[in-house]
Amino acid sequence: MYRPDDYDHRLIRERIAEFREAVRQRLDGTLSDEAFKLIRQMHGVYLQLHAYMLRVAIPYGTFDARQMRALADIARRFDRGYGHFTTRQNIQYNWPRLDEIPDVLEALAEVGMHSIQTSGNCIRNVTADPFAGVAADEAVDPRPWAELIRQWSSRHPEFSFLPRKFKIAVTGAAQDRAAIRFHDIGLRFRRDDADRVVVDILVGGGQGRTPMVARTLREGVPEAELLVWLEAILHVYNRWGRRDHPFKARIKILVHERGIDWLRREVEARVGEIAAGFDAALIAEELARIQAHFAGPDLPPRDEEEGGFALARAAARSPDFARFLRHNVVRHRLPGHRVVTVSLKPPGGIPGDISADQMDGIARLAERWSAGEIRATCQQNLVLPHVPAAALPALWQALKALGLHHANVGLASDIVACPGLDYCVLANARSIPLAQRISERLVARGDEEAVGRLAIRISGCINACAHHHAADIGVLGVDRKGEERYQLLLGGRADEAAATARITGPGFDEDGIVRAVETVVDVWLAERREGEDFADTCARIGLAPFKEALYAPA
Amino acid sequence: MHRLDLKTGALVEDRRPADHLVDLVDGRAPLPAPEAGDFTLRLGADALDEDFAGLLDRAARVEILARDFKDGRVASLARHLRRHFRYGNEIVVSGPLVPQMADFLRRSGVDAVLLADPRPAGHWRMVIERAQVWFQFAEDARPSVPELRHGRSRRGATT
Repeated sequence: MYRPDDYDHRLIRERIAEFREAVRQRLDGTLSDEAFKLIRQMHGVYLQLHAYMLRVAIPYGTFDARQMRALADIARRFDRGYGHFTTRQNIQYNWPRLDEIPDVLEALAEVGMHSIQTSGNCIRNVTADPFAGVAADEAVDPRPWAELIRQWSSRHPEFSFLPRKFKIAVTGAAQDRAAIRFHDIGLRFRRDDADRVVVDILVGGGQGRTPMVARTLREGVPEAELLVWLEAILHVYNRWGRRDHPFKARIKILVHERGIDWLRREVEARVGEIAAGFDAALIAEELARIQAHFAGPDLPPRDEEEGGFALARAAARSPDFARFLRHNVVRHRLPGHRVVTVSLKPPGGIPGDISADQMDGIARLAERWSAGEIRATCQQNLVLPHVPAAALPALWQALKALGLHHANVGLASDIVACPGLDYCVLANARSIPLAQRISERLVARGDEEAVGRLAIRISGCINACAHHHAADIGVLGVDRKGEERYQLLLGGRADEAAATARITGPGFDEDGIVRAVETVVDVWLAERREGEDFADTCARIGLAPFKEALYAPA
Repeated sequence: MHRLDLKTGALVEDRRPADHLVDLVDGRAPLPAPEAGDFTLRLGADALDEDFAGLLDRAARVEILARDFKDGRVASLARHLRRHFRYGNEIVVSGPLVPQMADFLRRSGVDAVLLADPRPAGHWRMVIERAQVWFQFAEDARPSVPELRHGRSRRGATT
């Protein structure tokens, strides 16, 4: 993985000095709240309902055991002993004291981490396929380009005051695990017929108040031209994106109102002149330097057959371990290794929360069995990407000791939820307690495996931080005359066949939405065909059978 | 108004004869007679190329007006002037600006900002002095990190 050099560290130190000065001025009253807001947003500091919140970037979701230990240490020293993994491969601390945040930033800098551009109207943390570099279906590891984009976008002189925030996601695999079609820019890396790396550029996806699936701007862009195209797209967006209302300011609205053909023409008109100011050979050298960091750990060869036998024996002895294998473990690109997803969704637990002790535990396990590497996923889980197959039984026991062994990845209780009204100043309704109740209810049925893969996502407001538009079952918190209500949406998906979920009808109160989710599950079980996933069933039968059951007179 | 030079940090009173101003903000465009000589061309951040392109060769200075302190269009318009039109004279930015924009504007090809109130000049200078690391190719002569990492000299700079 990428190791920051002196230049990276110098940028972080510059920014900490700026923030420390701003905090001092804010606390002694010489800096107004409005002026401070601009600066704190540049450093990922939000003012929430009860306290400041600090959002820390985990670029493209890749970090290591040393960094995880630092995050644990920060949780103990400066917060309340836990952290919260978000849907954009960040981690948030919900209770830091303002006067101590500069010290938190210093602690992060010690391990090459920071919070720059995790807030504000700028290019945010680039997200990636959490299995990048290890996935068996991957053509190109997209992380070197993600790192190149991270550096290019860090305090970009032209793009630090955009109309709105701007999100980029990357993948290099056949299966889209990065939801690239729901991002301002989605990048799919692949190899062309001549085995050269090229990029398909999608633009204008997003969720929020107006969910839209991204459109293809250009296919097969040579890798050497990627930054030129990104700069051209951002330039056009920055000049012509709407600034009259925040709900109309994302690039998806520009694409919607002026058309993808207009955007393509404008971008193409800029590409040549931007390329003239780029040193393509230098960018290629820089990319090669970055790529050397992503060569991957030197994993010892493992016998696939031997590992497979060990797993089969352990699975035969323990049904719980067998279930863990079915849901939390996938094949690695190298024989004899596995990719393990660690669920942060214990039944009835708070999605994405992890204690400092658990963070330390994961760091220990990563060092022992995953070449020290960890990933954060957009589903608020963690990944140990390089585990020897034969070590899985021992790893599972160790995860059990940490309380992180839940075999529910991709199942109904693997619920994604935003912080909601428990923390967030924008929220209309609580998300976390609802996620806990729905999780408990669905697990108690005892048929979670029989139900199969089901994505439930709960957002506490229209900003859609839990990505409810892209869920099989999406829940949206709304305010109705001071009362928390929940709308139900069905049939969204974030993969290659991305589609936005549709609202079923009138909303529900908290008890009602818990019952409604269970009703939807029951209708699906009754209606689905062999091998059909939830979105397929919705597409085939429509919402009518679900509505009939949901809104039938009592 | 006071002119703060984004390169040197020097603050001077800005003297701009009113009859040498072509103001395209809000669509007002009293074109000067050819014998009037050079003028300052004042543009809104949303100015269209076709409205000002024909005036650039006589503009001794372009002033871009920011609508508010979050108006990042000023940076893109400045880069557009440098990159697309190869505009080589002075570019200044006015409006309700904040010091945090200082280095971004300089890297985007802006020479100076016009401040109604000169008191925050020290803060502007501090922001300019603090910023020492840039990852992007930009419109001033200072090298980017990729250039420094690989021992390259600056290319493509216009100011």
